[in-house]
Amino acid sequence: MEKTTRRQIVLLGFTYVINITLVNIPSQVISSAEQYAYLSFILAGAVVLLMLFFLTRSSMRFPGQDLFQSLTCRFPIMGKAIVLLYMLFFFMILVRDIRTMADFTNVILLPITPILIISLCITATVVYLARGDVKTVLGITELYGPMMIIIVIVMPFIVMRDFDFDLMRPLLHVNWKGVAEGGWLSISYIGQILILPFIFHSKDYKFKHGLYSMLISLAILTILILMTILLLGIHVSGRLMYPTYELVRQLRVTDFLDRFDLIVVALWYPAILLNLAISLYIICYGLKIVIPSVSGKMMAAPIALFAFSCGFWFYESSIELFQFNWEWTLIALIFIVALPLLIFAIHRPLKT
Amino acid sequence: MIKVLLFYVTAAVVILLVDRKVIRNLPKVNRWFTYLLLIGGMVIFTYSILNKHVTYASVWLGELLRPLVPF
Repeated sequence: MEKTTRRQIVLLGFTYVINITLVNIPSQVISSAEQYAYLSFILAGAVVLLMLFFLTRSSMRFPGQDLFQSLTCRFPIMGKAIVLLYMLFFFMILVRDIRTMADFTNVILLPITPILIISLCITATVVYLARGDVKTVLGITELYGPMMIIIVIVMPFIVMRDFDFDLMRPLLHVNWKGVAEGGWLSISYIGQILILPFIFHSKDYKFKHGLYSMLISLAILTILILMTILLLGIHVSGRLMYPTYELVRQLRVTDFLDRFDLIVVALWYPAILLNLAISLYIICYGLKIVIPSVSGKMMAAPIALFAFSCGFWFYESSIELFQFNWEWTLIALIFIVALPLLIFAIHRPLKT
Repeated sequence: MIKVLLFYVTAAVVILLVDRKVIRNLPKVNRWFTYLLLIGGMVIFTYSILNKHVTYASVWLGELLRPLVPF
């Protein structure tokens, strides 16, 4: 079996954070933090990085095991309860992402196609991705991760001539309350990077991989949010549903390629399906850890169909989905702050 | 409206047919989990799509948690 490389781990963490974050929260973060929206991401990133450090240290106390394995071995009952709680967390992320993607496709790409069909197509694709091993997911990450990074780095050069730097004023009067609100919104999304020590065992995964992953994610999010503000302004982007898509629509490579957004969406869409596949994979993996006789691979399709149904029950509309971001952070903080601290405090090998 | 439910039923039948041979050789718990998830999904789907008055989970949770949100 091939060894998991450092690059694959970094790209998986980056992919899992960036793809849905750049769709779901820019509008709300810009509304709250205005031109200092990038500070919200940095604030949230700092908290998450600390929690990632705690989880990584906990994971390293059990060499050769990931956190799911070590928790269930060390604490047969409480460990399984913690794994089940994390499965629930990733299930809610999966449900939210299925609904987000179905809504985005319905609003932007396929307005006539019924949302049920779109949602079912997304779910079916995700099942096939997740049914492969983690190697399949990592292989696709290696393909689409660098592409997303390159596209975002190239974007400022294409739209630079349209930037209005006056839109960043006032530059030094930071609205800290707004920044804190933006941080509150973004922590639940950036915190998804905590998936890394749950998938990879401590021989492969080190804290520096999570750190690189986080730094790349924060850099990409900062570039995107700054470009959105410089191009669309605070008031317009704060009122748009998908300001990042609107930003991409502004990309025109002279007369040669005036629908550059189609290329970007075509590359971003498989990457977001990969996001869903990672969520589904970890739920199936967790189920296999909790009940060893269950085949994680065979559970992928039923769990995905269950998530598809829940997508229509959890959220009334895409507006409600965005509005729920405020309360979702409260739930996510249990998994991003409380449980990592608990794991760090109690998860130690037995003294012999 | 019942046609909408057919989407779900068709998807569930396809899953059962495709996995039929593999799942037969696995422990019974796999079959029970599959049936449980598919039936549970169908109940939720029927409730949320075919019902006129639906209590959406995010709306309910939102109402419950809003006082605790600091902003």
